[in-house]
Amino acid sequence: MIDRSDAPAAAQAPLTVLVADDSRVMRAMIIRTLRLAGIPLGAVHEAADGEAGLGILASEPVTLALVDINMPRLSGLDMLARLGRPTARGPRVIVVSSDGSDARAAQVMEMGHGFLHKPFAPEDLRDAVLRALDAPDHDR
Amino acid sequence: MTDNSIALRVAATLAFEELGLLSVGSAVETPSGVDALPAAVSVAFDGAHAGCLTLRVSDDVFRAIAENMLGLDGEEAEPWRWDALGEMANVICGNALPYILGPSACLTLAPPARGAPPETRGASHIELEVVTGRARILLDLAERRRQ
Repeated sequence: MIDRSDAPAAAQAPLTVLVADDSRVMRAMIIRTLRLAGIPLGAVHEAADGEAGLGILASEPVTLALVDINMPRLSGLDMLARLGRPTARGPRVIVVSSDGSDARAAQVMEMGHGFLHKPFAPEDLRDAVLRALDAPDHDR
Repeated sequence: MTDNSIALRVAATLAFEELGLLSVGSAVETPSGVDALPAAVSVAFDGAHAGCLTLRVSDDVFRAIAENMLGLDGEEAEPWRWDALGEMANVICGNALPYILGPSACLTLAPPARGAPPETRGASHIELEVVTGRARILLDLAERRRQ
């Protein structure tokens, strides 16, 4: 059961979200979990690979991106390398991956992004989103 | 039970219970025949090691995974069943390999593919009770590559 009583203060305005994952069931599950967690969602965009994800980030005002690592055409890590470090104007990024290696999580966090391990409980996703939205900007 | 089988059991229990909301019981001593576990997907991986993980489940488990993951009932879940089983295999693979190969091993997982490759002698495996059904996980690990 998800406790909605502490719905995200940092996320009062609807978020424009990108979910980039080559698994459509995982995309659907992430979006469903965000809704159940009380995260206010505006437009929700989906991408099945990193190239498509970058295209959406270039054309839409995405505020939160949830990105898988293993994707065809362009991996999540290559996508993030092209995106660069987090900025005040850019999206907050959380990598959501089943890759349980410490090295991978460290690599992502070194790039300045959040990391959430699959499988996750709904509360874990909500907390990761709140942390990402509260994180300081790196270009200030 | 070998160390690899223990890792498979831990990873599979985590995935079935957290992702599929399905309770996992004990390990099964006598493996089921292929007919009893008709739904199979495999995930190939490459990197420091290459290999393949296969997940086979009974029909009731196959149906329950998509329904639980997405909160859908019966026919609504039908178009999602194979994708959901594939994601389950992907998560088991991603969680089991760091236990087996070490936490610093970086691997690339291929998208899940429907079906199972022929089982090879020496592959690690575990079969578990999942609610009223069963799930069998088989890991075929290639020799360590030269760095």
